[in-house]
Amino acid sequence: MSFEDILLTIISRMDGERYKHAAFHLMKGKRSGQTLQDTEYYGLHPFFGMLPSLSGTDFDRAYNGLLEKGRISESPEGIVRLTMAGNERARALPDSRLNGWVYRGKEQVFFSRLSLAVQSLSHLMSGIRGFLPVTNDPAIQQDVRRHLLAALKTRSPDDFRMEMTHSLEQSGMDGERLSRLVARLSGNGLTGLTWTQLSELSGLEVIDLKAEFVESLHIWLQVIENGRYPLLSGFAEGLRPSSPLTGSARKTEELYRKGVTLEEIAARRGLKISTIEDHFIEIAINDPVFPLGRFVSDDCAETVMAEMNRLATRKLSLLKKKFPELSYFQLRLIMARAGKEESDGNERTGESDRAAEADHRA
Amino acid sequence: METNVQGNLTGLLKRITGHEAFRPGQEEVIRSVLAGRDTIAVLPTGAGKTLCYRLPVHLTGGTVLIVSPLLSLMEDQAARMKSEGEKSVAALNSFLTPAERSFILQNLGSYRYIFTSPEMLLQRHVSARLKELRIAYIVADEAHCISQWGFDFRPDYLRLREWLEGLETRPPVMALTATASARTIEDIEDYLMMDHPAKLIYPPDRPNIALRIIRPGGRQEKTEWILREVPASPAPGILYVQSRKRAEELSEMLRARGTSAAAFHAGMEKEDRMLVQQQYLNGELDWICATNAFGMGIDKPDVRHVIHDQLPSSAAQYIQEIGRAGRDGNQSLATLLYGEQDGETAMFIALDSLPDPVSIRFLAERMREGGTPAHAGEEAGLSETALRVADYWIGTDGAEGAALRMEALAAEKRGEISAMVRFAEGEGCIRERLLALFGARPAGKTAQCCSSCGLRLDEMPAAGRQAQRAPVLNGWKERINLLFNVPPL
Repeated sequence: MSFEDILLTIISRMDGERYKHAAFHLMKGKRSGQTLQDTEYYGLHPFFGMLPSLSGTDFDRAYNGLLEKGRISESPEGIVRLTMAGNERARALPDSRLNGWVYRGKEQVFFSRLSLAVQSLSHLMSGIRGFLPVTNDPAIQQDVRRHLLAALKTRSPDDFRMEMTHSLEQSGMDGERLSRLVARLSGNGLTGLTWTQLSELSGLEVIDLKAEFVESLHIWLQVIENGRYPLLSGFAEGLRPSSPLTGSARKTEELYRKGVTLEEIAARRGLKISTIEDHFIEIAINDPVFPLGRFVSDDCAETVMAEMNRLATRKLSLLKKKFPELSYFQLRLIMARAGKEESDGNERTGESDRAAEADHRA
Repeated sequence: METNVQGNLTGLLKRITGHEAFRPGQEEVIRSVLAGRDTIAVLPTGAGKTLCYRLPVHLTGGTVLIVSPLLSLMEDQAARMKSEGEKSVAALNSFLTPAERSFILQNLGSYRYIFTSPEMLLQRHVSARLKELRIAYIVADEAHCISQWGFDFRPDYLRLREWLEGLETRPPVMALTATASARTIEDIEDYLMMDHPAKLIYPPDRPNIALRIIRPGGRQEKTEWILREVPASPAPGILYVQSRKRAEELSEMLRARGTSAAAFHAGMEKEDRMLVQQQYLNGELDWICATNAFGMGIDKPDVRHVIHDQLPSSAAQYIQEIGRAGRDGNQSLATLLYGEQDGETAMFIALDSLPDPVSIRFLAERMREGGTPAHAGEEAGLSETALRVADYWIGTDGAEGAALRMEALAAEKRGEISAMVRFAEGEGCIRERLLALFGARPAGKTAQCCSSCGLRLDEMPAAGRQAQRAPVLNGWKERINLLFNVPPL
């Protein structure tokens, strides 16, 4: 799927309720309360943080492309809507197999490790001991060194090749796509291709190649993690973040678990109330048993949720008009909870990663 | 015993590197360090500076501490030393994860070569661990970066002095660079607190690099010249350009004409920069269209041609950049494309990277009010380099002192560019005039000297060469098999 079509998919889920930049922040994986809420409400987990280094220029080019093709339109206030044509196209698009929420850009760590390992094995098999590594990152170098040394005691370099070939076959990706994926790998006398070179040789745009690459890695990682690929699994270790919260939100959560009030946390940490409120939204999104009742009564929450369903909206301004007595913060908390319950019901007990995967398969 | 040890230097060279003989200057520098003297060595580019610090430690024992101003340079050098068979090499820098760092620090005594940055030296526990070692000698690499008069001033480098001051007994210090004016050498001697150093200064001449100046007029004419001449000219080559955009455009136009070329600049993602560099080193690419982000720490012996699309802002920079050609000693070529506007452009760019007195005062004011340098620098519209320089001098000299200093620096830069303009526009032997900028003269007359003395381009090697293995998009199984060295069925 092209980058432009991915953008169209995202916009189709937030249809008529968000500005242009919501999609941009989402794809970059911005850890703001707003973006995390959007991810949750609209079930956009596959796309969250899919391209952390996405540039405004690349985004604008795709966005303007959609405008020019008449697939989206912008209201005078800047709200983005799908047109009829856009809606038709969005519905015909295949499901994305991206898994952004789970990997959050860490798939690049997997690929860096794999690249260095392949380069090392390639030289080893050609009988060459010294070479300049494709990555200077000492952490990657250490991971690969440790894993290769352990693995090669009992397994041969060719076993790595077999696992790569089998797992890629099992992934179901087509041959051309796979050739673009492995084109980024380097070995003895055969260096990986840059995006520009890959673009000129394949006839695809660089941004489309980058988006495809990330999705290919997510698909591959899924195959590796679910199958019997002990050698490749070694490169996929530690990719999933242990806590989905940002560093700052985690500190707020620690204090909150100790029973410190929201205002007190703001005062102690020297942060604005609104920042701490953002943290609470983030905690509520990630914690299925977050005690909403401390901030808003259960009755009240239920009424609001019912109204949200009736109006089929996630628009804060609209809800504020209906419930002027509630603060924005209270409404956002309820919406955070609503997103959770809608996507995976009430049986959720733990790990948000698993849930995110479930979401995206559904 | 000393005579005996020194007499065996050639034997040691052979044992460690496999080479039969030293290149000019290497042996003198090594002997000076072995005699325990502080040493300033100015050796031409490609003269094998690494060997000067690689070898002596095999006789002295202990550890060599190599301080390098550029992180990427340090990584490259450490990687290269390892790939050449020196296993006990560590790069101690801010890229390390906490785990890796504590591993290195715990095993510090087991390394023969420790590369580090000036910032690291000032961290107390790093410094304390280093002081426990038996350091044979300290190397200041790319030492011209320590001088504000150098073209690549790194204020952080000055912190090396603070660290040296804190040592009870200081091992000999070796300062290495390819280009240093008299003023820069004074700075090096002073900032590194050297004690009557041996100054081994070799003229920056590279007789195997023929020099050529072409005057195509404006930018359009330059582009036409490049597209016409580069495909048939000696390769592999580096084409130095002013901007990222120009690097992209020229490389694309060259590719469209069948020349294997790629752009290289700081705006590309790290992975792609690395791939371009490796393709070039492996002979999969003939031309790199690069900004000055390319070069330091890249050691490709067979670069045959360096072209400058614009006037470098100093003779030292020019010497450094053309010096990336012909490191294998074979005949190479350096071409400077000079247009009449180039002096002005160079002036504009050089002065733009210097903070002016008004911005200095503004910056100082903002920082007094508690603003961060980064934010204030953005408000004042300063480049990253300019901010780095301004921040440092405000800290040591105060706003007014720093402003005065900037005026002096600007005057110096103007002088250097004017000298380059006179060089580009002048008459007579190009080599003589270039070396005269360093107070030196060519050692002798070479057959392929310069375009003023007459060049025989048809006798240059490797003209119009094609890359052996241009990048291709293989079938996926085929590529995996190639990577794993599995013969095709």
